Amino acid sequence: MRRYLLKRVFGLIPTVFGVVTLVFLMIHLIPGDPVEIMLGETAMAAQKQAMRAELGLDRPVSEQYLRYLSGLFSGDLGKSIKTREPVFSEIVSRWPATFELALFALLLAWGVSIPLGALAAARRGTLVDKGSLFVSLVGVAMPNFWLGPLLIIVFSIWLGWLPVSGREEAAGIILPGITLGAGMAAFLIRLTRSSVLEAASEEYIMAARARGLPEWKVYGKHALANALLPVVTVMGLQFGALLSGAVITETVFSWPGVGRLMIEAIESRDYPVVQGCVLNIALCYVAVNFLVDAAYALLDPRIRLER
Amino acid sequence: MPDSLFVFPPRGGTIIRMRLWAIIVAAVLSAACSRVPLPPDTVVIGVETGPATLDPRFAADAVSVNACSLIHAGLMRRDENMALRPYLAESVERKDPVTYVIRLRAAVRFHDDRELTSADVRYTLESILNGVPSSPLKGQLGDVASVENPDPLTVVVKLKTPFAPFAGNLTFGIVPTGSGDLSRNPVGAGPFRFVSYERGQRLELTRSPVFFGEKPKLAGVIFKVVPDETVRLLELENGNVHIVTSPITPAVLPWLEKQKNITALKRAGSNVSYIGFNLRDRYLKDARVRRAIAHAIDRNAIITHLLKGQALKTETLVASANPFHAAGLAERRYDPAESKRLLDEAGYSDPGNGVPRFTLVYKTSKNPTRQKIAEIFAQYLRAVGIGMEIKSFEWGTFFADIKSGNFQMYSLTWVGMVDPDILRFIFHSTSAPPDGANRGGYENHRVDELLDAGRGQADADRRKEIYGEVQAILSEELPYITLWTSVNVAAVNRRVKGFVVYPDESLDSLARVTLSPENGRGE
Repeated sequence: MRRYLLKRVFGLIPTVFGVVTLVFLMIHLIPGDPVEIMLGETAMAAQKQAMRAELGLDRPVSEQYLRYLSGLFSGDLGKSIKTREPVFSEIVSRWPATFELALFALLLAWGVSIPLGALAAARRGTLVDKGSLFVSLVGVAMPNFWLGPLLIIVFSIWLGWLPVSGREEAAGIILPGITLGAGMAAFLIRLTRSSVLEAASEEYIMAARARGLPEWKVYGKHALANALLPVVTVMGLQFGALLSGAVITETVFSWPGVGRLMIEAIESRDYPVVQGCVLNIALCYVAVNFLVDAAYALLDPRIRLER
Repeated sequence: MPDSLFVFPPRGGTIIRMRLWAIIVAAVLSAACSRVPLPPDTVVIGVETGPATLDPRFAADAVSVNACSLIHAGLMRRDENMALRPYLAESVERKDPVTYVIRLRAAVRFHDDRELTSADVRYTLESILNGVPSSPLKGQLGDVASVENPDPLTVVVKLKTPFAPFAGNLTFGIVPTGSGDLSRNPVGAGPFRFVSYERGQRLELTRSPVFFGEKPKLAGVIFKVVPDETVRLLELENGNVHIVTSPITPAVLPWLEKQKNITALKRAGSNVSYIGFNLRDRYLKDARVRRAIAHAIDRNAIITHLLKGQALKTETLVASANPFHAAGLAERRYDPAESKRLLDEAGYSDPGNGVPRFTLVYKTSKNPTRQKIAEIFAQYLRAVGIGMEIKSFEWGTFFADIKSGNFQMYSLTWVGMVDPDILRFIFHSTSAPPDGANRGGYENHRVDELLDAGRGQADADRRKEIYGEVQAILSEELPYITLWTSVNVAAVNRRVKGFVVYPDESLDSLARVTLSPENGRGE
């Protein structure tokens, strides 16, 4: 198992290196002068030149790339053009909000979708199944930029139960969590249902029934446990996406996370922060993919034995 | 194989794990019940983004400038009519064309109770001029030769060449001597003192007990970051936010005006939108073609229907709110017949059958309102026989093209114009990019002379005459077609009394605002 995981870790290195290089080149190919953004268009040419030298932007791209790489090893992602703060600390300061929201949304989606999906499979063709299908279709069809304001109008404006936006009050996480979790849950309900149904046609399920086990045990224990492999994969990838920042939900609910930071940076053409955020997204996906692989190996011993 | 979390009935370790989840969920739900109360007598302003910095030497974006003007005090300030008033300075005297003597108010204290003296003013000026990193304010001070402080209340600044905008540009906050980076923990001498700043969430300020002017009536001010405009207005409707300022989408205004607890305040702003021309172009170098384009566009219709009245027609880049605005310039009215006559006169007759006389490329950004405006322009120009091809680009590409002169026509907005010396940067023949913004290659010897004279002239009335003549020439020659001035809108909770919308969107009136009790109760 340890060898399998080590192999996976080494496999990730070229991916990360490739992402870093691509991001660096991309940012340097995009038109737009960071110095002009910092000093304004009306700054004198000599002042702009001095700032370029100060930031090392007057050096050849290859030299800038090497400096960027060596900086990465010490956690130095450069400084924000807009705030002049280190990019690393800008991203790290937004991480708790993003992680909190992602975890809340994931738990919510998980708590709703797995029991509902398994129940829909066990009660296939009944009203429960059709109801879960309906719920999942509605969840998938509602975009976050629409669901978010709708929840605000109902729960904050009409009923006055929850805050409209922000992270100052603990209750502020509920509406963005639901907004973010709804789409994920809707998808996972369908996935769990079809996986459980597939597993239910296996011979070991017949054997379980033949042993006289009650239906809830047949589905809840035997079918569900074996149906979880694809569900875990999808959940992992979705969690990776959430960790890289839920841009729309964070914007609607004024949630100060990484997604919001990236949008602010794009809007103000704060290239070092955009670069740091893209790198953060890539690392989140890489890390979560690795964890999903590890979970696979835990859930299915054949995987770690085969490789 | 280890137990899955989902295997039930639970066994051994699984029970512990399920309990762990239950504890996490319970903790989140119980925390959800707590609410953070708003401090009393505190006004909350809903802003799209938080200030990038709280150091006045580096503030460049509108929110940073506004927050800094509450925390810090400058030598001068602009009032609600854009008139220049002494603030920390008692007077700024121009001894000769290159020497300014600044006399300071006595007994002014910073929020940390230190006395503000000429050494602090000198330090602030020198750190703007020579500091690392470079300050965006450096260019606003002209070419400074020396800064001296002969006594604790006097500062003498000598310039290398005359620079009339100097005194008017002394509105940035003065910081204490030896201040390092103030972006996170600022100490100023303004009406409000810094309390805390959580980036991306909120900035909290409280009334300064040592402020030298009239003490603010509010106990504090909070800038609350609400990026989405709809949610910002819902927060306003809900009473969690008291003031939301421009930009407010024009289509939202009718809804705002119907709300019982909100009032929409409007005031002519200082941002001016325009169409820029490349005067090196074979068609556009002819002033008759530029005039024909101006007469082909119905600005009234665009302002009424698309901008919902949130703009005012203007014939000059110097907005009507600016004391240097030239009133009485001839209006370029919507007149398609005159437009066609001018095009015929210029030698571009109408070939008929819907074939254009000639076609121009119009560049714009991806901004949806700008794209809509471009489509409307294209329709108006088509009606007089000019073809217009719209090319919209991501901002960086668009602006790079404009700066390099790679365009025929484009539209942009000049933001934050205060001193008319900016016209030198835009229209002087020596102001080609990168040292200026004369992107279209405009050249007029008389305009150059006037702009040079305006820069050196100290007398305000004479300057007004000079810039009046510049504006008249520009409105005749049309290197730009100025379209409209923005109207600044503030949506304000009716409990807030005394809030004034400034042409430059400053929030300085917060120092005089009061907040009436909610539903007859004290907060």
